[in-house]
Amino acid sequence: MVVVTATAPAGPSFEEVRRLHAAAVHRLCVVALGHPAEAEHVAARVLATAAAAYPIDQPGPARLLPWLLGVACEVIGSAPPARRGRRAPGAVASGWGREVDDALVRAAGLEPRERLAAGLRCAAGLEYAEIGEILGLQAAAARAACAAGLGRIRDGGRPRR
Amino acid sequence: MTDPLDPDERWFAHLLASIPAPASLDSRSAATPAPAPAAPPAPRRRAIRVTPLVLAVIVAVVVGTVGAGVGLLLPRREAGTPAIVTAVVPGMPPARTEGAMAADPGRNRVLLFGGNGGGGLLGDTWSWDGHRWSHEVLSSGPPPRASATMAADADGVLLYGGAGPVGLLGDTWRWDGRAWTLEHPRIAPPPSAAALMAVDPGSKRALLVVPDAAPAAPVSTWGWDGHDWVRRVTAVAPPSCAVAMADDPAAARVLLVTGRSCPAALAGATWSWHDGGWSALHPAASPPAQERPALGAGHGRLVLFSGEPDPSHSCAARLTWTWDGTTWTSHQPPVSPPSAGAVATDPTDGRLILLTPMGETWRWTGSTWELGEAAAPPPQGTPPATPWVERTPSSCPPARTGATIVTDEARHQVLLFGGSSSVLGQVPPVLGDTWIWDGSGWAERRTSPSPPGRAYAVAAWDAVHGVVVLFGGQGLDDSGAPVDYDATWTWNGSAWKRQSPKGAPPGLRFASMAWDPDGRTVILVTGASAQAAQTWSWDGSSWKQLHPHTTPPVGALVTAPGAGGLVMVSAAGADGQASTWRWGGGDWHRVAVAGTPPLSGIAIAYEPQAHRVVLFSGDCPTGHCPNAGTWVFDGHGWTQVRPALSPPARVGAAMSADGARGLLLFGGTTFSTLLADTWEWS
Repeated sequence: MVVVTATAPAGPSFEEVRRLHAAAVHRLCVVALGHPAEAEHVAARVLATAAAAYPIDQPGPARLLPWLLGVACEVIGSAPPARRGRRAPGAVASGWGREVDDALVRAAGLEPRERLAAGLRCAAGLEYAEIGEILGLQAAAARAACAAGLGRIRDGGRPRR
Repeated sequence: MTDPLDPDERWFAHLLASIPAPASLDSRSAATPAPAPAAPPAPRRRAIRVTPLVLAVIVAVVVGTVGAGVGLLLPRREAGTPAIVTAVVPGMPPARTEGAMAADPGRNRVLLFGGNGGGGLLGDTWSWDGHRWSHEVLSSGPPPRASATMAADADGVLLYGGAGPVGLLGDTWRWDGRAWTLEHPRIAPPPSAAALMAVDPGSKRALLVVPDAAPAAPVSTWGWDGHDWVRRVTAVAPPSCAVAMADDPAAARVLLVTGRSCPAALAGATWSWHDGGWSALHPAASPPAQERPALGAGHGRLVLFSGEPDPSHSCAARLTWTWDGTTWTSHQPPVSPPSAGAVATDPTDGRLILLTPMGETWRWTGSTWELGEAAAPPPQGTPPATPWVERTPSSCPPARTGATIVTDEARHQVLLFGGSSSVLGQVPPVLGDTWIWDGSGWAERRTSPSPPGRAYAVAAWDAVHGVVVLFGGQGLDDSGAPVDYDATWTWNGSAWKRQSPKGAPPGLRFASMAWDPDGRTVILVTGASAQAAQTWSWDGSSWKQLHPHTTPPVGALVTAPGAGGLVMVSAAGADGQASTWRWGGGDWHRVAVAGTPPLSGIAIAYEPQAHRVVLFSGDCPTGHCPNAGTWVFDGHGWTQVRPALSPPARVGAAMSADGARGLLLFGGTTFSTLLADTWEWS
């Protein structure tokens, strides 16, 4: 048995990236696609895509999550239209609870930009400037898109505060 | 994060956080898609560029390599190939739930394997030598999984089943101290992620129970003979809603307890395995049925610990019971782990150790819990002590979030009023009860009249008139419709009185109130949105709107005589940055300070003994909040402190100064559990 001293790697391995951020990618896909199975499927594709690009892009720890979610938005944007937020109200019960279902149905009715802005903000906690960079918007416009999206998602189900 | 989530964003973030991540996403993709020579999609204007390789891969993945789950399959290792330890690296196990842990008496260690690491399933192996954790770095081993079960017999530690990336598992592995070896029993129990394993003191071999899908159906019982699983047919057997099992050192038998998912008649029962058969025990007292308790032996007795609220004792969010071979005994230790986790008996000293989901290692001393090793040692320059201590009063207010709390400085008491009893903090339902904390316990004060039930009201101590002032909040009108109150009430230590001032601030959604020690009035900042703030003052009989030149966004007001006077920590302003403000001379003045605490779902109060403001931020719906926790402000800058023990993460907690003792924090919600625990900071 060899005892070694741990040394800090130059950057996290992609497995570590996956461990840290797979859930955020999945949540974004859930908001963007609405359908649980599609979200899982596309999230897996996002991670596979990012795994291939990670050694080349080398986003660095500070930019890791925005980079990964940028890849996610690309993959989501490339998905067939049927997989982009076309979930019929009440068509699929996710098993995640009625409040989640209702919110996802309302999210499905949003413009793609608003839906992605709300997803990037609430699924991953990105800042408006980062969301703007991903969606090609100014930070203020990203904030407005997020607020507009959430304004419609929250109808009928949000808490008072 | 410099843009804190606003309430609506936080609500949606919490909804999303309740969605479990599929286990499939943890897979270490065996088939990483190769770049394809297809044309990339049209580029968009973005600062975060993806490389052509990414675009090519996207096309390859999306268009070409359909086959759902191609990237989800685990790499398959050869069955039976031992996984050799290549290094042992001291460190701390990453945070996880549903890890498997067992004593390894042959090697004087505790073994930990796998679990759910939040971002995905884990397949790592760790050992505890009585003092510290070490990562057993292996070239191979069992595939990643959560909810496996483990126990040690004469040949090593046996691991069975769990939930893997592609479903339930029914494989059996053996750890010999150096390597994992896949066993090949002729008969395998059915795959399960709810199986329980312990060592049968009679045979010294592993005993496994595998539940059926129906909670009331009997479990199947299996014994390990060193090579094979052997089905043990018994006349009776515990129901499949069993939740914990361990070998009982006091009675040389295996003890099993059933959980909350059982039918009522079967929930919370105690069963014993002895002489090859099961029997239901009927102790005089039993722990209440729990969802997922931890059960293991320490100091010669079985210890059951649960981090779930105890329905029979609403104050204690955590409970500890011990079993002496015939009876259960409830304990009220002064300190408890924040939540349950994996447990095992430490072979080096016979004590029970518990690894919480946050990575803290706790020991049961026989009378209390003590923190053995924290996930992250406190950095230099920050207090190494544990200023947060959980109190276990004999009675307490019902669980709630969005309550109003204020210090009655004349009577050295803390007043708690109302709140929402919705786990999501919704209105309705609202509460209208009044509770007093006297430094040692909670007592309800039933008075008439009393403000109608409400949540998110604001309150402040009026030092001139010696009363508590309460304003606003959200409740229900006479027709049952939600309403934002604009009434003003005062509390004189024994009774509420509704005030009838001329004019009043509008009842608005955003509000914060505190005593201004310089102007000697109560200051209220309120607005329909955080950005549309109004500033008002209360002189004991009337409200007056003030018109400062500068109006920061509505934030959290706190009276801090030793740290700037009346201070407001504001949410994101026009520049997108959280900010700290001081009230003086009829205007708001921005304070240039170092450090920016997160502002989502915070509780804030002034600690007079230390002349500093303490902020507790326990809201992290996105799982990406390194700055969450406890912060202090000394008038010059914010500093994050990292005590070894903190209240579990929550939103909507109520916090106030507690006389000479420090600060008091009560309740809140995790968005899955409404809390009624009481913590002190000193």
